Amino acid sequence: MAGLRILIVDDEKAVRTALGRLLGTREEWVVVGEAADGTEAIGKAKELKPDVVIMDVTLPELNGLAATPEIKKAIPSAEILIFTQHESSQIIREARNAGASGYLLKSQANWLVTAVEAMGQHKPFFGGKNLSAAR
Amino acid sequence: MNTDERNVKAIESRAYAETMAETIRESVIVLDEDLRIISANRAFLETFRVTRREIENRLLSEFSSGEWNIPALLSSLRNVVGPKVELRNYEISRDFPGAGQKFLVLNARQVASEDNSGRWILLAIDDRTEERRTIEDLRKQTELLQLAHDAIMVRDVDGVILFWNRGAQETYGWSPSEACGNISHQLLSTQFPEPFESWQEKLLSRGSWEGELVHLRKDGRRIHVASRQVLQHDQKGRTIGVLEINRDITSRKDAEEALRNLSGRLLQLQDEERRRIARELHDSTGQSLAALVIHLSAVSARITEIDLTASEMLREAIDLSQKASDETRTLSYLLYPPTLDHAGLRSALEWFIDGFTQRSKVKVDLDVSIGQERLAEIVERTLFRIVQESLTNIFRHSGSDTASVRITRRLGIVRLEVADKGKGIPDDVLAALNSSGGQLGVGIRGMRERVRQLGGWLQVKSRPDGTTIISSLPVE
Repeated sequence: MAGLRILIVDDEKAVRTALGRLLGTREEWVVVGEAADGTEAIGKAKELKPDVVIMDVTLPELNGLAATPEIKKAIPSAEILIFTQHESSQIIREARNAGASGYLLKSQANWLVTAVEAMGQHKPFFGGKNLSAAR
Repeated sequence: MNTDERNVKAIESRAYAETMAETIRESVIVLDEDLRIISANRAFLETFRVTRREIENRLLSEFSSGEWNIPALLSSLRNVVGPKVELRNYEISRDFPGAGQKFLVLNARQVASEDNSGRWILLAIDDRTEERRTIEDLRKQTELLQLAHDAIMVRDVDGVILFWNRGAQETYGWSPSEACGNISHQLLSTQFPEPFESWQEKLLSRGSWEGELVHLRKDGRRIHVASRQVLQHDQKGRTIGVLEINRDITSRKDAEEALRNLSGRLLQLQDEERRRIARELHDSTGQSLAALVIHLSAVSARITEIDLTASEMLREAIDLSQKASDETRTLSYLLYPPTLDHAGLRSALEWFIDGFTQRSKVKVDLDVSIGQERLAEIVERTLFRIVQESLTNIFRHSGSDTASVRITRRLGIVRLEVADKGKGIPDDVLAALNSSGGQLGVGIRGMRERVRQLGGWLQVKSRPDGTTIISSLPVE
């Protein structure tokens, strides 16, 4: 499989670091950058042109759901995976409407690699709590 | 006319006069110049329980046990035959043997004696004992009214104050002389619980009214009174006035108001505290737990060549941290709606209603027409809580399988209407909800306190085909 360039957007340093480690388990994937708020995310995306953006929702300045359409407009090929603590069918709806291709709860992080693989193949991945607990 | 004719005429006149004297109900006696009783009519004999024989030719002063031996009276009577002064409305009160205590009003004038040779006195005795007793009873009753601390007043059909007791003076500051003659609702600037005409209509049709009124005292202070009003009728059943008894309940109302404010304030504080804890759980604890799951997942992905037992333990660790993360999120959602702060009221309501419909199977129609601009945080939170509480009530009590939530904004007022098509709230429950006592801070009462805290008001309209709860809140 071709390599993926990944941008991580989360305001929590501990989460960004952990994500970097998890994604680093796949040799062909490269974390090209990190952003801590929505505005920074748009700038980094325009600059780095990632294949996949892992996007938190609750962010300072501009939230993830508001930053998503901006990024899709600038880099239509980028696939955006909403990765959040928030769980509701409403937020999944909003994520779809914003142009995201995927949604994953943070507590289901063991599915992250699978979700990012789907993004790399331009396939949707929307998983709620109904994903099996461990993988 | 000759002497015979004259005599006949005189006899006829005398007979006529005697007939008259016998007929009238007033006691009448005739006295000579020495105040000796010449004759008495039947009314006199009956009133004082004496016989004609016992009194005729007796001196007034000596007759009976001397009850009439009143020097001032005797001298006044002598004046009637002397300087020819009429005796008018001379009052005496005496205990007569066999006849009891009597209150009498005497009138006397001079008349010519039978044979025209002298002057006699016609003494009319009016027995006012009964009337006096009635007045005395009334006076005692009035004294009792004066003892009452309640404000007691009587007004006529035009609202003019006729009676005003000491309690009314203490309550309102106006003395009886200041108050009587005024129209009562003008004097007191009465605030009725409904328009005056319909209020009065109720009083007149039912004959009485009971409720709370707001009055203005003489010193300008506003007071709340618990009022009872009863129509007064005359013997023919015509309405002649209204008896009104008012008790000052201002301090009770003030205490209730303070309690309501405190209760509303506590609800707000509780919300703020919950919001703080929910945020902390979601954003801080939740993130740490999420990072933990990610780290463990990274370990799991990286180290595949360990023994099966270690691999099983790692899987359990991931399970546990996921469970902790999910529980933390659920708890924080229970404490405070997650999207209210960052996504606003509409999103928070959509989120809540989604979950509510899933749990309750009650279909909810949501319509939020308040424009894009966010409302004040506390207003959004209050409206959210009211929708939450109302929908929960609909699910628990109404039996309705549909509900509608409508929020509109007009002229500085945000109006929230939550309606169902259920069986309505029973009258006694509704009355208890609208009364001022009872348990504070829960259900509809809690909603009302939240709304009042923000200067708004809450109405509950309930019929057998559904209930609507309308909250109105002022916004800038």
